[in-house]
Amino acid sequence: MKPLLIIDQLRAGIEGREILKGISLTVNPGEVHAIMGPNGSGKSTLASVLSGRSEYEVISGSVTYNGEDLLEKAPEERAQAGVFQAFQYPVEIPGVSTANFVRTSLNAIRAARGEEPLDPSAFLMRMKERMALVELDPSFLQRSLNEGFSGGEKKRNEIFQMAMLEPTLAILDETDSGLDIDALRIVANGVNALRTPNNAMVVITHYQRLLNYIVPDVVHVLMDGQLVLSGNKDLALELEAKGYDWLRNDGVVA
Amino acid sequence: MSAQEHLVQQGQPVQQGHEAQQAREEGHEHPATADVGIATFSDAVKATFRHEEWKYTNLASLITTFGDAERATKSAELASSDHRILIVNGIAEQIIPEATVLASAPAIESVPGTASASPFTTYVAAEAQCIVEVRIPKNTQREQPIVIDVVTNGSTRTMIGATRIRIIAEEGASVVVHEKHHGSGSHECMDLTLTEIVVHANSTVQYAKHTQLPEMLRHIGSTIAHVHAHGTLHTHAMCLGGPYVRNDLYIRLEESGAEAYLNGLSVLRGHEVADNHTTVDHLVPRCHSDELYKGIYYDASMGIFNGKVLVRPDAQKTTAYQSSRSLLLGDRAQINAKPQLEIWADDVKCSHGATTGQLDNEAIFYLRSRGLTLEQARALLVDAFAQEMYDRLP
Ligand SMILES: Nc1ncnc2c1ncn2[C@@H]1O[C@H](COP(=O)(O)OP(=O)(O)OP(=O)(O)O)[C@@H](O)[C@H]1O
Ligand SMILES: [Mg+2]
Repeated sequence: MKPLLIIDQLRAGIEGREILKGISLTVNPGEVHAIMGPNGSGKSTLASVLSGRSEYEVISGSVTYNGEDLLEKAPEERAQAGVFQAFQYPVEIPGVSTANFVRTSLNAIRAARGEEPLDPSAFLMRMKERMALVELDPSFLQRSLNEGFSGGEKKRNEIFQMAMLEPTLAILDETDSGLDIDALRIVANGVNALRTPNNAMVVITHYQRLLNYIVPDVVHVLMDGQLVLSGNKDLALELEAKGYDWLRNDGVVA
Repeated sequence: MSAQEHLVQQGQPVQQGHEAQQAREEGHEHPATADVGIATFSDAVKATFRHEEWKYTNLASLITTFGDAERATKSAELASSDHRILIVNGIAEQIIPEATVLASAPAIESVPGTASASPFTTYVAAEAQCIVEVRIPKNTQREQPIVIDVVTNGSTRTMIGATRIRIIAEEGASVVVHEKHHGSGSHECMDLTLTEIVVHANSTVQYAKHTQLPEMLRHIGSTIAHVHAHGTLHTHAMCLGGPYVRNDLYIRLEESGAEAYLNGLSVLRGHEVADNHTTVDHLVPRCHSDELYKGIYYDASMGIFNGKVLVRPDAQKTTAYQSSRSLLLGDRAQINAKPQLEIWADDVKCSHGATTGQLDNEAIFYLRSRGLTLEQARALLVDAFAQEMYDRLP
């Protein structure tokens, strides 16, 4: 099988400070990879570099997505190619309604692929169906994007957008943080409903709990900018029990 | 008599009925303004020289360009319409049932530092080619908005149009007025307007002034409003293009319970200038004002926002809020925002703020990460910034 994503010896940082210190990771279609690790270890930075945030500077290494160099693409080109990031802190955009934004987004991606815009009724149907998937009330469509949304509503809105855009590679950055038990289950069910043999997900989380719902194929531990350990889903349980300190002390860290 | 009392008196309807109407038309009620010294447009320009409030205006060029501009004199045949008033080059051509063309109107009491003291106000008050008064009778809710088209057309020569408009909502009435300034022609034109608004007790006036001017047309206009007990005035200054637009707005909250909501949106390109000077005058206790002016400035355009809030010694329990927000999108675009709060009463709630910035990079990245191009993302954010003001339009 041809890998969907190959990260090879990626080093990146910001303002002259190195944050990612040589990361290698291969994700195949159909797989779910979880990335765990202490605060400040570089998880969001990795997500930002993958989605093309320009403040972060790639020092060396490469990222290949679907056989193409991902790093040379603009953020919108990555989205158009099927990369999606659910943000840890989605921004509030006053004055842009959620519905208008999602329509613009979906049609921009369709246009880049040479597809016609969805006709309004098909679009509306799709919106209603995908909102139901994450149990988000349709009244949110008329509200300004994320403005005044609760923490949990913002996260559900991210998954709703993911459901609308049907990405090939989804990077979920702490989508479970700030969710109550019910919302966690709802979001996880939404994510699972979107899994296909052709797409893949990178799930960044602090909590093993999420991985009971979204069962990962591989769990990685990111510490101080490096992936120090990988394992199956049981690794998450072990981390939950033991924390991260043992990884610092037993010589696994280079 | 103090200036304040004088103005309150002037705000009152003079008399009702046909006779009163006729008296006003014949100019018996009030003497025309007899301001000495400002008989021509050039006099008005000269009177602003070296004045702080006019420092962003190229005054010398106004005299060169309009020094011997023509004024239309032909009194047009008056057509009638249900909702649309048409004034061309200062001459009324079409009016509505609630409107009258007057021969003279009350003098404007000059309060220093406000639109009422502008030399252009004085000039138009004395020299307007027409005075159109719209009067909405007591307790009448006018459903259809009134559109006043103020057209300045310099197809054969350089023209000045001087128009005076009076909008009077009698007690308990309500009305929406769109005053639309536009024009055409190959010669330079100047559109001068003085609009007076009287919002009587318990009435509501929504007044939107739209300026969307062609390259050859400039506008200098004053709006002076009196708001009485529990009356509500909404104003909207929509500056959507034109080489030079100057709006002086003066709102007097004259009786308790009066409310004023001042809105503004400027969207400018090239070398366009929009110069907005507003004054809200809280004269008595328990009045409320809320002001928001926004601007989007591309290229080398320039916005000026000078917002005064005066809270007079008697005006206890005033609430007055003001804010201006600008987006500078051109390398050489400028905004000069100057809030001025002068508060003489102690039991008041007032706030003001001015922000100037570019588009939010976080928001742009978020939109791009969802597939929008940089241009689409910028356009969406600019629209969102402006939309709030469009949503407020009546
Ligand atoms: N824009 C930035 N400017 C300066 N430093 C940054 C920036 N972004 C990240 N960093 C630094 O890089 C390090 C990694 O941050 P990152 O947000 O990637 O951590 P994280 O693993 O996502 O943490 P958390 O679990 O708290 O979300 C931190 O020390 C952080 O302060
Ligand atoms: Mg993070």
